[in-house]
Amino acid sequence: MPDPFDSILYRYVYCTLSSTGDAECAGHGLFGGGLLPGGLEWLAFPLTAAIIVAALINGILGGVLMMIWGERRLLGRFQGRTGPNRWGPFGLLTPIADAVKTMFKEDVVPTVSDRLVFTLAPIMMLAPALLIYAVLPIGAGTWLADINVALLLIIAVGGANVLAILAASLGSGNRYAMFSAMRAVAMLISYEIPLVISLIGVLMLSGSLSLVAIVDAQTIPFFIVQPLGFFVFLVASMAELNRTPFDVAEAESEIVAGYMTDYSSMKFGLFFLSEFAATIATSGVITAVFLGGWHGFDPIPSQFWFVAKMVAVLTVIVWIRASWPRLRIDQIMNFAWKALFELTLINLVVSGLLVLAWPSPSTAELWYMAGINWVVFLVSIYIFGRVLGPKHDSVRAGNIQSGVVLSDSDAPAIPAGGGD
Amino acid sequence: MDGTIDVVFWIMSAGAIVTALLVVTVKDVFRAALALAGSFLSVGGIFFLLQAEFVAVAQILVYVGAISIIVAFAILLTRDMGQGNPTQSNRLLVVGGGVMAALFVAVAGFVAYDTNWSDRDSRLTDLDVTAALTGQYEESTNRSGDTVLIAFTGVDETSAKDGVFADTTGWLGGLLVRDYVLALQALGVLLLAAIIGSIALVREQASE
Repeated sequence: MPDPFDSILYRYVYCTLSSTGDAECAGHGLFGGGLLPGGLEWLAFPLTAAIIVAALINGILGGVLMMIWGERRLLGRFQGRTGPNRWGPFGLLTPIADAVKTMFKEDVVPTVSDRLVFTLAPIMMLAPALLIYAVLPIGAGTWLADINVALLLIIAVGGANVLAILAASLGSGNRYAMFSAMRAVAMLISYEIPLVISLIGVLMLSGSLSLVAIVDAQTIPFFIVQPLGFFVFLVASMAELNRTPFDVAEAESEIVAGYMTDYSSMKFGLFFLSEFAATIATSGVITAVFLGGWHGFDPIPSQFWFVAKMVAVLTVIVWIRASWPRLRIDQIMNFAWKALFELTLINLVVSGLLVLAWPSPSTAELWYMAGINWVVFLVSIYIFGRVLGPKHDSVRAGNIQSGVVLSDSDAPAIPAGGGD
Repeated sequence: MDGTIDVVFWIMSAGAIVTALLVVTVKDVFRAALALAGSFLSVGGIFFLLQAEFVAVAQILVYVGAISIIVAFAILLTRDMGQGNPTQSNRLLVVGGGVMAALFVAVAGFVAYDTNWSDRDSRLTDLDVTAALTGQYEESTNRSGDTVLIAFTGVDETSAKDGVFADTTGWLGGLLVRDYVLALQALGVLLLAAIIGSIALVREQASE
């Protein structure tokens, strides 16, 4: 395990506060370093942690606000309308107005609810989402903790939100929330298996669970070397995030808002926040594990590359939301167990054989692996598409008539410049 | 830094003990389940402090992420149980508690008796500590002739830093798939048998 001073973020803040960091602090820190008066230098470590955490949480809040705006604008584009455009240039201030509105709404707690559990659930939802950022390297040397089980930690805390959903539904004592929890638990537990196994291919290539080591190992981005792993990880993360093709847990046409039905004001705001924070964190994980992390061309700083790649992933995630309808729960379960699970096993076996053939691969050998993996990827996707395609969906087969298209006159008129 | 770690340790320990007490005293079953998850989480935090990162994350993954959820899900499915057994105790409370307390004292006493407290520090030389800190493990024999895994090969003492430990995950993984691979495989077969058995039990019987 590398030491904390490898993180320039940590070193900079620590050395600004305390000069007792001796040799490691030479030439780092603002104002020549050592701001804390003598005798108080034991405060440097907790203060450093507090400052970094405060900065990080504010950064995440800003990122979430930006993402809410970006997602609504993009969805507007995809759906042939404008999206939020009234408050501020390009509607940029809309999320701030939304946040203020959310905070000032009445905080309703149902009388049948278990008040303690009801209050605890949004916090339990947000905490794991924030925890992921602790191990996310957002640039060369810019990370909070480089622990050698970072990827495992992300998977572990990512699974903890199931407990929050269960707490929300049992706490609010609402039947729709109960349905939602049943669906969410079934789905999240099923998708966790392909999610974990799809990462093993990357682990075999990099030989480490540390995100920093994984980024370092990517002489070419791993989504080229591990297309099947990338595909399965992307799909399974969408399910873990409860995002649109898989958002049966909060399907508003069936079960109101699922486990969030009874929540209002800032408690609802926390759910909303954690959902977006988790989405951004997941895009960060995808960037670090599959897209080469902070690697890029030289004059532009590494942090910029990381954020740019994250924004690209987020755009794809919004794109998927705009393009796919919500699946039924049985389709979701079939897809997890009959397609994704087998695909990850294929990826695991093929990657294992390739790593056996080329242990600690050079860049050229990574390209050979990429070639073989792409063939496997395309062939297996084709086969699974044929075997599990729409013809074999028993419910749909008899019901859907082909060629029912709305004429233009059936579509409702689009109001100019409305919100979404 | 050491003082901070002490503070975090006491917070974690207090959290683990308080939530563990809540599990057996709270009347609502679901609240007890949440307290149990909190207790597991605190223990995971203590593992982190002890630099056993893999065990810490495994603790969160398995206990918080799986076992707590199964407990909570069972409560969800048996909704009538939600309000809980009003006393959380029965006639045999004293007997059961006595047996468990006796077992705990026996185990703790055995560990305390079996650990060689006086000899422990003297056996670790500076170089052994350096090897542990820099992760240069190797199988060899220690001074009393037992085979141990902690040793060193050309350790540079200056490369060791306080509180920086080696890659325990890789070491554990090596043990798991090399030395104890038979046990791992046996566990896999056992779990598979359990899954198939449970499916066979709950499968709808074809009507006669």
